[in-house]
Amino acid sequence: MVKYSEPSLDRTFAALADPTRRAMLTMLQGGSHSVSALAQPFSISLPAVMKHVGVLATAGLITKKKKGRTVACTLAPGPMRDATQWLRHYERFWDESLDRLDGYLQTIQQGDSNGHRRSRS
Amino acid sequence: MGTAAQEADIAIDRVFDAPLQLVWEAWSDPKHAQQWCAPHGCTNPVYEQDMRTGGTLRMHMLVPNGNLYREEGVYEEVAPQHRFTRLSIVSFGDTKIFETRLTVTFEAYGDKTKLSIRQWFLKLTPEAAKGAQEGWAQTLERLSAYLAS
Repeated sequence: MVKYSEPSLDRTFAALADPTRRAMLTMLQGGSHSVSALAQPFSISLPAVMKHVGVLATAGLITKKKKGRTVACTLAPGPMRDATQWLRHYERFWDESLDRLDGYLQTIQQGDSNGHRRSRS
Repeated sequence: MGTAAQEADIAIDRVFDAPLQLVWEAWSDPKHAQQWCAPHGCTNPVYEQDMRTGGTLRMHMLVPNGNLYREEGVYEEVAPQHRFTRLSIVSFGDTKIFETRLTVTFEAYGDKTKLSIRQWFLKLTPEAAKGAQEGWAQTLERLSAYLAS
């Protein structure tokens, strides 16, 4: 784990927890969008969209930049990378547990063939 | 459930050299699951579950540094020897850290069994204080340390 990035992880996950915000991030992977362009696919009010954009910006997932009368939103990859790394660690949790499952299945199968159910020590 | 369409945060597929019925038992029978459902060096001092739709799970995981993690969940959907979905809250000490949904699908491949694990992290709980998070991060660090050894 990268130490300095730790405090922002909870905000990252809170921000990612919402399907609308996830969809917005997916849109931004294709490049910068104005807030009104981001709002277009969703049947929600502009204030609601602004709120989502605010949450994403606070979590550091996007950056906002004023361009005349519009606000351009751009994906900031840093926290996303941290979140991905966290998930990768969790994947290892499964990998290790599944290794143990594999070994355990072999053990109980051998136990079966010897007439002993669950001969595991 | 509203999550199936959403891409899983974790997706692992793996084939096991054991018949489907046995693999299902290894998950569904808490006495079996208790034996393997934690990384190397970790144990499950508590593993109680009733793997039926609406049944519950209560699991404690003890890691070598003495930290205890708890998972409490509900089986939202169980189709025996095919698939289960459970919704859980994971806690560190008294602090609830996050809510997660897990779906595991079992498929027979002759004498082998393919498992498809899909996991979604729904939200980090508001009470996930910094201290708890550091504890979790520590565990994760440990997990990667085991892999290196």
